[in-house]
Amino acid sequence: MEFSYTNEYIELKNKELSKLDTFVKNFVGILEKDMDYVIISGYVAILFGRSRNSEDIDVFIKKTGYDHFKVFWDNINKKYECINTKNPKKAFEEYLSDNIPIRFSRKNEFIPNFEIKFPKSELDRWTLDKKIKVLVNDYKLFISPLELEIPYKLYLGSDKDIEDARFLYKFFKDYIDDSLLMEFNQKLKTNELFDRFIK
Amino acid sequence: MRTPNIDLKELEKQKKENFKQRLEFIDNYVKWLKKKSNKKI
Repeated sequence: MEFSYTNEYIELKNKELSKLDTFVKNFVGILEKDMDYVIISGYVAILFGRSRNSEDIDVFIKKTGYDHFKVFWDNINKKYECINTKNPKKAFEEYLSDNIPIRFSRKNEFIPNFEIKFPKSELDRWTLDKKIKVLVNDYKLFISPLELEIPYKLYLGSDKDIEDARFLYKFFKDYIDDSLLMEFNQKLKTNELFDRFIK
Repeated sequence: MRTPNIDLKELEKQKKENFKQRLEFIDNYVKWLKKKSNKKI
């Protein structure tokens, strides 16, 4: 896998796609037609080669109205199905709008799945607004900014999360905006964890 | 770059809620697995 980093995007060339990568590629190919989205959390580390699997891919989509959501629902349901409910109105009103994520898997499968939610906090909206473009072979993805992803993983604090944070920092340390990273460490009170496990 | 305000109390609440949803997901996955394997018998 060849890797390059610019101010505009990150590029991965000749990446050998795993089954999970292919699942993400195909799903996002439909999602991006209808929705402004950003992939957050575990898959961000996996995308760049972290050696672990994941049952779900976490995504924020920009808050929208039911009619727009229904267009996405109809398109995505041609190949995938919502695990929570088969009713789009219920998915929108009782789940998404109530800050409960909805999950989509391939039909008659359960795992892996996309966990989709609306941004709830200012932090979530910032993540969507400042998303990073990643060009992978012949497709593109949007991921959360690494300067937030690393402290946020530390904030979550499980062994797996700390390992993800360390992997991302070691991979991107020559390219990361250190002052932004430290600002998020400050805000999330993860400075000590950063010094202990990441540096 | 202007960074967002972070309400740590709200974030902690969100973390607990996410964990609760994760546990519910596991329950539903087990139900689905059992249902699926029963069909094959």
